[in-house]
Amino acid sequence: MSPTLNSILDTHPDLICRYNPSLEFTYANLAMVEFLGASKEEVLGSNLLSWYPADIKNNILSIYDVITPERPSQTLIQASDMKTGASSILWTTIGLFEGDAVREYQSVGRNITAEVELEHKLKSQTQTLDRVQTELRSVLDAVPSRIWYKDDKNNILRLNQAAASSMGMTVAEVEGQNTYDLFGDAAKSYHEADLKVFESGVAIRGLIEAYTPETGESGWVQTDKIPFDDDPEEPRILVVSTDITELKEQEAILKSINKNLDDFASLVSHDLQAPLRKIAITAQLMELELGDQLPKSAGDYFKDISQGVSHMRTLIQSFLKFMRASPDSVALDTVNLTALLREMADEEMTEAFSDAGGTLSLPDNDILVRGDMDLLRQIFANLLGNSIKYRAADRPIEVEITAKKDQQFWAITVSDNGTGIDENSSEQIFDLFGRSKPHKEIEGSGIGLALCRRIITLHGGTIELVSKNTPGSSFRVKLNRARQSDG
Amino acid sequence: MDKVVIIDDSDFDRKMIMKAISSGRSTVSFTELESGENAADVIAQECPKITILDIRMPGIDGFEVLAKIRSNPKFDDIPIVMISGSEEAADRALATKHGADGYYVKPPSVAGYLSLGQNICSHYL
Repeated sequence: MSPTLNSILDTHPDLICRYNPSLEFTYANLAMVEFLGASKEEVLGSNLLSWYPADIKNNILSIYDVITPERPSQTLIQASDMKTGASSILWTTIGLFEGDAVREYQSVGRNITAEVELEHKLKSQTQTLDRVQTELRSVLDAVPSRIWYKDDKNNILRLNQAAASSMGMTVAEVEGQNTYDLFGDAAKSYHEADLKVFESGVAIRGLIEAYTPETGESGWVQTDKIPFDDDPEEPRILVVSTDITELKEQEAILKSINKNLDDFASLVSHDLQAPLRKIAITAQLMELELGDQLPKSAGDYFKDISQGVSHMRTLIQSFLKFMRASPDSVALDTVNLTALLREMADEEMTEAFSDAGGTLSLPDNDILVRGDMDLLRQIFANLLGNSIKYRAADRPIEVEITAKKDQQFWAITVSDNGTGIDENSSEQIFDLFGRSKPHKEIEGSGIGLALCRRIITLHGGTIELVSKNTPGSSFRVKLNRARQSDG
Repeated sequence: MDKVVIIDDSDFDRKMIMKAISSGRSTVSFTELESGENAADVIAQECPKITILDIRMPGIDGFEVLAKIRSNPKFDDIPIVMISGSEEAADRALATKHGADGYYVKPPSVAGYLSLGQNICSHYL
């Protein structure tokens, strides 16, 4: 081989070599020599098989069985482990070279190990991507929310099953369509909101909007619009809508119920009190102006009217308080319940207990709760009032209020030694107009404990009747502890 | 003779108010209105020393009547007191906001009405 050709072949990146029918190298270019990890001197004259492990020698030999003068060329891709321990994948063309009494094999190979590995990697990544896409599709379709990917021209790039179903269509039918074609006029407001997100780059969350596809069912949705900023050339947003049609309907019903309750409270407050006032005043006027002309027994009748009116007025006022106890009416703050009870004992209860002949024992420790001072006063005035009202005739009243911490609550127990409450009525007593058996004989509105429970519930607490071994009744009120009390 | 205009849809309440005021002052003449629709015209004609205006009335309520009267500067000097069947903090605040001179709750007793009459006489008549 001429030096020039030799030099050219040495600069060629492919593995070029020739070997005789005994598979001994007669030529190897530089790339081939480097591939074998040896010097030219070591390679030339050496046997091709000597560079491969013994166990694949038969495989290599079988290649040469099919190279004949009739089919003088074979192209194959071989994966080979070299004797040096290296692995390689070669794309090789082996040809039979027959010259003047010379018969040799000529091989041109290209090491495509890196390319094949890259292809394998790519294939593996494509499979992973396919799997992730399948998983993502499954997740998207399993989510009850309607999910859309849109561009800035109101085109729907992708969507989930729930979104497509909401329009009575399949995912394939909707993908690629323009919102204007699917939602008519309503699409304009959707697009305007989308554009705000595109322009600001800030997500809009909790957007309440009418949902009116031209096919499918109309309703209300709560929507989040979240921008993607990964590709400024192709801006997209993720739109996640939750169907709140049922909530909106319930809200409308609740509003209507609340309006009725407000109207009813107004009726109770004004319209029911007016005739009551008229009855009371007319009876008083009759007694004042005609009393002398009426029989003596008429005085008892006037007294009955007065008592009846007074009871009815109490009922109305209690009922009104019950009706008006709503979340809006509760102003939560830190309240020192011990101080409040002491103040109540001094101002309101001392005389009542003194008149009824009894004692009131208050807790020594500071009970700091989250509550509305006025409403808490109302609760404990009701409970203490009940202790006095339902006292036992044969013994002085004893009322004890104790408190202990119970998780996030203060559990406050109000116990008395009165007539007690039938255990079968332990829940009934908290119903509106619900009264327990022994107490039905004593005048009461049947609203007090219902009001207590309502107020306490509005505070996030509980009230229950607890059984006790001694005579009387015991109520346990749980109120949220104020943070200061945690220490 | 002092003139008093009473605007209240309740015949009974109008009578009680008149009775209560008359018990403290004999020289008072009353003009009764069942609704506030013509209140401005009547007040313009009578020039009363005081107008007693019920809040809750069918049709135009007392606040609307009050706002309408107070929008006319020629009635600036005529005291208007609101009267209601129940004590409502919101109503009291609204009455003050619309320019009422006083706010009374209709009493549940004869004694209460007499006290109301005395109060009105001493303040406005």
